[in-house]
Amino acid sequence: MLANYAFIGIFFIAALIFPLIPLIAAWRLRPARPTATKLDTYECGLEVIGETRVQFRVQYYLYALAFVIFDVEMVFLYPWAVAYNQLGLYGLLAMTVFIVILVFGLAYEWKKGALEWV
Amino acid sequence: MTPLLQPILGGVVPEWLVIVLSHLAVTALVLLGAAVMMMLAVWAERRIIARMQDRLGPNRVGPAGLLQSIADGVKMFVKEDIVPRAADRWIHILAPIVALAPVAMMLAVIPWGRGLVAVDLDVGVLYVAAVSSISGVGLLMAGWGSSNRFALLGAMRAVAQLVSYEIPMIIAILGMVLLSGGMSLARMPELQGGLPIVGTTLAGVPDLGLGWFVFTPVGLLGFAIFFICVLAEGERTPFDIPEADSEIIAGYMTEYSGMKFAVFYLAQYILNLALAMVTAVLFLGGWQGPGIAWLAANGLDIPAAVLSLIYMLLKVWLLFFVMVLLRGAFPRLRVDQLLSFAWKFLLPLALVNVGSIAIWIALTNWSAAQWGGVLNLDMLAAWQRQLLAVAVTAVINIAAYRWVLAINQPQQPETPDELIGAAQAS
Repeated sequence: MLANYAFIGIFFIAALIFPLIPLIAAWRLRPARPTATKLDTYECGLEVIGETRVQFRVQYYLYALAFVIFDVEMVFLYPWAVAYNQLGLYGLLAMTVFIVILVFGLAYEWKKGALEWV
Repeated sequence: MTPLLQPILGGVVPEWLVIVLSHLAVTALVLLGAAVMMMLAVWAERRIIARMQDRLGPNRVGPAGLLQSIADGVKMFVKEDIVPRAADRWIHILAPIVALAPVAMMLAVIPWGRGLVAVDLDVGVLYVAAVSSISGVGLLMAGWGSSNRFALLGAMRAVAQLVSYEIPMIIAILGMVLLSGGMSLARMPELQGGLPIVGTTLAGVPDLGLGWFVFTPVGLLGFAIFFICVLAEGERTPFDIPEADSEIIAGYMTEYSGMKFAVFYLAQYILNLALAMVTAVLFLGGWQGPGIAWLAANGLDIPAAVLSLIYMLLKVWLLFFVMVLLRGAFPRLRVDQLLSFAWKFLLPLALVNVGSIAIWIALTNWSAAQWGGVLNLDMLAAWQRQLLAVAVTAVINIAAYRWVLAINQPQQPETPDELIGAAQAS
């Protein structure tokens, strides 16, 4: 089984080379004649005024926090899912409690308005 | 591949090198196959969309315009590459690589046919879920590194969307792990033989390879949730706000030109195709289909592999065709609609579906001892237990769907008719 991960490693190197081949080939083939106007930031033909790195809306952070909570909980659920058939009724009840707590958190977030786009 | 290379290289090089070389060959084949499928997909999409919009689409280069993608590729190779002066040069250059490499890595564990898989990883589905989420980093790098307002807006939207739709997606995958009792993607199709719903539990009936998970109520709901999430993860049209051309130019790709743009494009189409393949494997039986079991039982392994590859490709292209149809038929959603659809509609539904899959397994598989004496279904035949499970889970899932619809009723008037009605009432 460990050998499989070595082959994932081979695949990883190949996946890194995969985009590099066309990028390097294009780098050798294409012309490069930069001018001052060409290198300007694209802004629909206008001059760029002010900071281009605009601030993130706070809403994105709320969604990101909710994502972290659910993502971690899902990782806990995967081993349970694999072993479920052997666990019996106790396993079902234990995980029901776990998911109910999760759903309670979602309902709280919903009521608090954290899922609304303001 | 190893059995093919062994007789040729067996005496010349040591055995471990033969194994490594065969894996290199398989890797090259898979990546090449993906690139060819991507070119065909671009052509097919342009032709179908053109037909839906009453135009012709690319039909000049090669037969029916088939070589259009190659002509586009040649153009991309010789197009000047512009890195804006204000951009963060290295992040700008690295972003397309970070976006494409994880997507290409996904292909490692996806079975293309019976016995045709590059790496049979025992945690395949977890690997796919983990690797596919890395390309979001590439999109954020592109948006941030470009130092362009449209690019950064697009990148923020893209990451919010990827993150939100990943939750229902991995819960839908979790359901299928629960149903199959294993995390290997390569073994998933083997469990979907037999007949619809009852699988291989009926004795004396030929194995038709049609026991796809999508034919069960739990699999159908899982399929619906997963496919919607696939559309969102692949930024397909009802969910393409990260690159909404009419409002933010091209989103995170705004400052990209030439080959770097093409690599983003490649990443997006390979992601679409890879996710279509995962959908086919998890829900539509992957390479399963009528005749495979018969061929395999008679020792015809190579014809079985070829037939299974054909079935798999048919299903993948069917799913891709549906994606293209949806692109031609639907307008774009708003950001708030898109995110609340993931969190308020798909997520509760996906959680209920996990519960009903747990009940499905308990009703079909558990002995009286596992039930702890609460319920004894041992006197029922296997197919009777399956039908009982279908009835119970169908009721749960339909009730859950109606409940989620009810809690999502809009509080404020939204459509023109509602607005007029509200105005007249007040």
